[in-house]
Amino acid sequence: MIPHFSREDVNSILHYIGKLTHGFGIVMIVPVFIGILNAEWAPCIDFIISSLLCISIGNLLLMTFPLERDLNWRQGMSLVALSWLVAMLLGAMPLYLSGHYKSYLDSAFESMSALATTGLVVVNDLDHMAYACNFWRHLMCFIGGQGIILVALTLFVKGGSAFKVYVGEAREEKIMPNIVQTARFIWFVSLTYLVIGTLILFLINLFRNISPGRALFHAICLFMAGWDTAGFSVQSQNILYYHSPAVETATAMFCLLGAVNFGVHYAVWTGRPKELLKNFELKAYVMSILVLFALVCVGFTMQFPFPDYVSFFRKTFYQLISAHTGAGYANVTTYHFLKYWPPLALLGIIMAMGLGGSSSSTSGGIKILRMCLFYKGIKKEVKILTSPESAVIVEKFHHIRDVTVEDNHIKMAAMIILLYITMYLIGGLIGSFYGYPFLSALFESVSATANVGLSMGITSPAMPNGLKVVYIIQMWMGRLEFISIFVMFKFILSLKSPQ
Amino acid sequence: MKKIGTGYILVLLGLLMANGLFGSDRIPVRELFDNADRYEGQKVTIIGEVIGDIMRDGKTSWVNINDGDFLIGAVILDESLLGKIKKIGRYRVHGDTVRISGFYQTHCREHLGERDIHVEALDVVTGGYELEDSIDLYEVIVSILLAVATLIFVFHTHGRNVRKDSAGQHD
Amino acid sequence: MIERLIKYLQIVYKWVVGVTIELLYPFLTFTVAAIICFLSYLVILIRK
Repeated sequence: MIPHFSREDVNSILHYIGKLTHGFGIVMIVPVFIGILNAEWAPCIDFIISSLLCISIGNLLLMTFPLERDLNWRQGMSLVALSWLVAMLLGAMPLYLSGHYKSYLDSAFESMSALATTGLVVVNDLDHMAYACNFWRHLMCFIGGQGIILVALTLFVKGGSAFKVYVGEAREEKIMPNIVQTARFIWFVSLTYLVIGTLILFLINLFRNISPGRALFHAICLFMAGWDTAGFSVQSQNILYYHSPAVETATAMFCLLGAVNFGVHYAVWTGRPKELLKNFELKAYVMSILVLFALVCVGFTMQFPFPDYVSFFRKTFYQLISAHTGAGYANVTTYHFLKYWPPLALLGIIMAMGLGGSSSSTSGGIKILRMCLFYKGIKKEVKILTSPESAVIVEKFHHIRDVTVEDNHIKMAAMIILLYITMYLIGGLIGSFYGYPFLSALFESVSATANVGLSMGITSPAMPNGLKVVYIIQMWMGRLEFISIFVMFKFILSLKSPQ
Repeated sequence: MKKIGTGYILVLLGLLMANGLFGSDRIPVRELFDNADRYEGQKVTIIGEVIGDIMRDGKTSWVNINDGDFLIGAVILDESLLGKIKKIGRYRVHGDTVRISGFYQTHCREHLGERDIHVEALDVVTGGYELEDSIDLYEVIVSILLAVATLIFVFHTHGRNVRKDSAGQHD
Repeated sequence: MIERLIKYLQIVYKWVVGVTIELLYPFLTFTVAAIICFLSYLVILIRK
């Protein structure tokens, strides 16, 4: 018998939504301080209103649904999916009040793009945006990249519920025996690199004559968007604003580090540096970067617009890293993509975006571990077919620990790969129906679903509203890797009144 | 008559030449992107607002110009040109609107492939200005009301016990 | 007391070594990529 969702499920889920809403409102106070520091009074009021509204809604939900229960799998998964939608709508509030967005839909698009660490933007006049508002955009990238649920885990989800919501947010690695400890370790890694990354970028900016306050602001925002592979920028030209190979090198470095599995970070930081050399996923990831970069380079052998080797390497490798890590930082304009990038090079970028980074990292996309499992699955099948019937075929690889490839691992990996590819194609087709060229529409669809953020010019405030909704759904589904969303839809469709 | 006619022709020629001395007509940045090949290595004039920061790499200074539609980076080597820029566009500040003339390159060899304009002349067309940070009275009232509501909720929930049902749910 | 201190120092040492080694991995990737790019550039020059 397939169990249906009941009122008790609704009560449990809404209780935790109340806590999340409450917590989100408290986080919104941080930009208020940024606004006060810079005498930005109108944005301060916007954030105060948004924060108080979130806290009030959160309290109202907690009052209405006061019972805190342990969550089962369907409740945990539904909670995760619903939380992200709620966070999108709440996060959009101060953006909409800033006046830089045409509509609430645009604000919601930007909010989802930040939380899902995509980086597609529909903001107007970003160069004149208040520091408070700009900081909020980047803070949402940081929170979203870590995981909204991860934030909650460190604060108030306890007991058996913790692992269910952790998995629902597309994280499987149990780095430490306790999930809450795992969540705290992930924060520790991020905060360590926040300090290092901000310092490096701050010094680069300071050296380039940017005032200390702005240098620090740019550094923090660039790091948050880079490490969490979001690709947001303080200015509308994205990375091009800086005209600096040093900034590009630093951001590329932190994007690459952010795209590494947190389990690998744990191993390396606890006296097992050889994990960097032994880890099958990481080796496959580096190989993928280099192979796809070779493809991009081969593409340019047919059509070469650059004046020399250095410009060639700078423009192409940075874009490949940006695509493969899911960051979406652009050191070329969309015009450049359209005019100067040959189809083969664009294919390399699309494949890099589609594959994404490591599992349990800040990256999006299919994830390299799944491709490794898929490859091992094929290898196992071929061995079975070519070996004597009595032979027992075991495929293994090293990923933090030695892992034996099981049939259910292969099945899950293949299923998620298929879902991603289907979503890429559906988004591409929908973009085509709106009148955009198929290659551009496919590029944008892959960018949205894999949470990359590179654009061929389709994403803009003038984009059709329907397409904005489609991309929001793609970003949401891509970030949560589908399953928790399907569970949530089953939850909504099978709600029944109490008997 | 012949002398007067020659005079008019000379004046006309002079006017045509003088027009050329002020550089080509200003073009939108979008035009540079759309027809990059046509303007490659050519002297162009653009008008736009200076935004963000003036960044320096040794003797080179970078200024970003927003013409209302698109943005481009301008490379300035002459310190005296930089001194003309008084206000830079940020929140509540509309930067100086400048006219810059210089040589455009899609992939500048000197600057590692950057799309830029090497500025030869810079003039401030309109000075920048500051805008007021206008606070909406309606928003202030709403925030006060919300603060009161929040306090009521917080005091209300503070007094309640949250009961934990440790039995949980089973499939 | 001293044993505790030594234990904490060992943890910090492993942490510092780990971060330093991790910061090297992107540079190694960049280096190999630069070689690939250079080889492609040579092909382009030869074709021209």
